[in-house]
Order: sequence, then structure tokens, then C-alpha cells
Amino acid sequence: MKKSSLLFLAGVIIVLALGFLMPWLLRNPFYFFAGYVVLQYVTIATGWNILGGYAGYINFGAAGFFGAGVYLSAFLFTTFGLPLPLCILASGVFGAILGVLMGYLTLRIQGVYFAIATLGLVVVLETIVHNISGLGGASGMAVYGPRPPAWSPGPSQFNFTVMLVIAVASVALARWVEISWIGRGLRAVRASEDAAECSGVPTLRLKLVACALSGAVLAAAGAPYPFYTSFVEPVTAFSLVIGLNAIAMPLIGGTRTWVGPVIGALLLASVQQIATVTISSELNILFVGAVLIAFVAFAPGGISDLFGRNKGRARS
Amino acid sequence: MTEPVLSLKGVEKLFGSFRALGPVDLAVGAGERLGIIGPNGSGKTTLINCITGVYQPDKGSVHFEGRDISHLQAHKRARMGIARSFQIPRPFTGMTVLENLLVPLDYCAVEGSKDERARSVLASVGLSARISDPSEKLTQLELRKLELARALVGNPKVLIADEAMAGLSEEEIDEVLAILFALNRSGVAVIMIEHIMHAVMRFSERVVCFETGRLIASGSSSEIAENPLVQKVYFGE
Repeated sequence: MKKSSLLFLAGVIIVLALGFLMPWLLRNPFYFFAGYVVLQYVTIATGWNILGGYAGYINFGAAGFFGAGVYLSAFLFTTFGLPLPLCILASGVFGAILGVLMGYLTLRIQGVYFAIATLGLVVVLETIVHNISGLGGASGMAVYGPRPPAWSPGPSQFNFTVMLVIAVASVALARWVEISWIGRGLRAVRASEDAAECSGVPTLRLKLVACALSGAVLAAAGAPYPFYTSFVEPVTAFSLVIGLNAIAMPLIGGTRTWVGPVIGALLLASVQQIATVTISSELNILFVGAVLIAFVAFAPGGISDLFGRNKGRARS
Repeated sequence: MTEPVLSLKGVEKLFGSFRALGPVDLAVGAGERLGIIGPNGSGKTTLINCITGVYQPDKGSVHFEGRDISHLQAHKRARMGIARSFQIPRPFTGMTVLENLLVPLDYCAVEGSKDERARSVLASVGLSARISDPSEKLTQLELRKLELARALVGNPKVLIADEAMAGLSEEEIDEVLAILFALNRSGVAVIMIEHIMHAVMRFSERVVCFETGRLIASGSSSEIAENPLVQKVYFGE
């Protein structure tokens, strides 16, 4: 195993160990309530970046996948009493299928047309859920989540730990994609699709793989949400704020590596949580907009690119 | 001409009602050096797009090593051994020079170590010193060399060099020609599309000339230079 992979593995073990220990060290459940949202956005940003960052296909439909994961998980749990891990797994598989379907319909178009088509996915899915009475329709549905196991002090802490495991698994998946032949092929697609195709890269198949993986992660991010809020409704599950954050966080952190979305999500989601509590829940969106404009204008490569450039300068 | 490695039979390409190419019949022998000339808009790039699979011909067929590849996707043709460089270099930005060559190696079956193969091809085109540099930092000549290296790394049987010398100085043209001659000596058929006449004439065993999508003349360099149809295309009546 390479040194970088060993370091990554060590990091994963430390993060998971801390995640399982922290509920016993910090008594205030609010930290875990807020931490859940931060980790949820780490997962969303990481999932979005597999297609939007590596392949350069800007997907405005992240909320569609997230909402699909939310509703499928809620439905499977309330109707069939499926255990939480199976709900998450089923949401991930459904997200992957949805990703492939979206890919088949949209990947032959590029740029702004692709972005608009993906935005349409959110509207279509939200409208469908609005009209299914079994899912609560427009008024939503209550979901009473599973009892936290004995190793977790409470529901907030349990939800936090579940989301942590999903986030870590998503980041590990994104890293594997990035360093594998898939990631190199996707980056070639991002640079020049024709040149990639003429170099032997099966561009359409690779983009479909990216759509499936991205969709799976985004939907898995939504799977524990019904148990976190105990209530789901279309307006929040398919909220455009999720779509906005899914794009803003990788762009601010940097889209070329798995680290960028993690940095962007940790930074932006943490600040959003603090702003929600101390200032206003609406102002935090204003903050995202302002930071996004600043980064697009002054540091289009994101935070990880700024650090990479400075490291390069120091070396030379 | 040796046994054709690549042949086009009645190939036509239309964009709406506009006929951009054809019908064209053309055969390229194994290890041949073929020059393609013609004014802007004569269909040269459309022709190579039909050969490489970027476009599917509307009529006719493209055969490679005896197999009909007319409906194969571009990446499958590349894996079979049809490589190309682009008129305007298209490096895989965000990757180093070495990584640019690892992309085709990831997807085309090449024996041995990918890393060693990439390094040896980069050495053969004179890019060893730039191996770890981002491709965005290369000069125009280096970008042209990178395009050729990326095309060569998968061991192609046919290389199509689309204006690989555009914008280069005389010394730089000589460097690129030396790379193409060396490649051809190893048995690869090279199709050169070029506006720099002295380079095409020096390089090619056979030259074909296109005008308004049709092949109007074919022959040796000297025959083409004296062909009245070719002279008319370039100099008028």
C-alpha cells in the first residue's frame, strides 16, 4: 500500500474513533445536532464533486437525489420497518439508478443545458412526491426513528455517528475514484472530451459511472435525514438550498481533489450553523452567496488550490 | 502502395443540407507517409473526424485492417490503433505531462509498465525534462510534442497529425518532422494534414489534395506540385 493511502487509512481510523468517543466526552447534544448537518454537507459536497468536480459536469440536481434518499428511507422504514443500514443502502442504490437515468437523458448535452436539465430533475421529483399521498403529499410525514443503541447516549449522538460513517465512506469512495483510472479518465473528460475519447477513454460510460456514484452518495446523504428531523416534507427535502450548498462547498474548497469538498463543507457548514444560532437562519444563505462570489472572482481553484500553489512556490 | 491498413469507400458527411465531405475513396498503406493538403474548409478535418470516429459518416464505410469500423465509437478506434493529434493542442489540463500520457495507457492495452512506457515516449519526443510539470506550463512546441507523445504512447498503427506544425518556427518544424520520420521508421503509417507546404512535400511519399470536400488530386510530391487542378485551387485561374 502507498504511503499516502496508509496516511489516509490512519486518518479514517482516528476520525471514526473520535466520532464514536465524542458522544461520551461532550455532554451537550446540540453539538451533535449541529455536527450532523456539517457531516451531511461533507457527504453532499463529496458526492456532488465526483461528477461536478472531476468530470466538470455542473449538476444543479443534488437536492433531487438528496430528497429521493430522504423519502425512500422514510418510506422503507415506516412501511416495512427496514433497519437503518438497509434504508441507507437502498437509498444509495436508488440514487445510483436515478443517476444513470439522469445521465442517459442529459449527458449528451453540455454546459448550461446540462445544468438546467439537472435542475429539472428536482422539480420533477418534488412534484411527484407532492402528489403521492402515501408519502404525506405536500403536508409531509412524521417519522419516528429507531431507538439509539446502548453504545450511544442519545438520538442526536446516534444520528451524528451514523452520518459520520456515511461521510467517511463517501470521502473514501471519492478518494478511490480520484486516484484510480476512473478519476484520471474523468479529469481528461473535464479538460477535453474529444481528446479523451480519441485517447481511448470511453467518455459516455465513464460519465455514467460518475453519475451513478455521485447519485448514490447524494441519496445516501439524505437517508438518515428523516430520523434526524422526525418529519419530512417536500419543500425541505428538495430544497434548492441543498443544491446551492452542494455546488458552493466544493467550489470554495476546490474541485480537483477529494480534500476540497471536505474543506469547503467543514468551513461553510460550520459557519452556517454558527450564523443560524447567533445571527439568523436566513442570513447564513446570504453568507454562502457572498463567499461563493468572492471565491469565483478571486480564487476560482478554491482553498485547496491556493494551498497547492503556495506549496509549489515554496518548493521552487 | 503496401496492403492498405486504412481505407475509406464512398465516405460522405453532411451537416444539414451542406455536404462537408465526399464522396471520398482513399486507402492508406501500412507504414505509408501520406500528406493531405487543401485550402481551409476543404474537408480535411471532417475527413479525419470521420476516420477517428468523432463523426459518423452519413454514407460509405471506413475499414481498418480489413474490419468495417464505420459505426465504432472514437475510443474503440483509438484502442484499435488509430491515433490523432489536434489542430489546436488539447492537453489534459490539471494533470502533469506524465499523467497526460497515463490516460491513454489506462485505457489502451499496452504491455509492460505504464510508467516506463510513458517516460520512454516522453524521452523520444524530448519532453523528459518536463515530465512533472503541469501541462498548462508548456510552450507551443512542447504542447505539440505532448500531443504527439499522447497519440504515440498507445502503440498506434496509424497516426493522424492534424496541423502539428502550425505556428512553429523552421527549427521547431524540423524537430517535429524528425519525430514523425522516426515514428514512421518504426512501421507506423502517418497521415499528415498541413498547410506548411515544404514540410508536407518533404515528408510525404504520397500527397492528396482536397477541395470543397472532394479529393481532386493524388500523387507524389512533385506530381502534386505540378498538378494544374491543385495549382488552380491554391493560386486561382
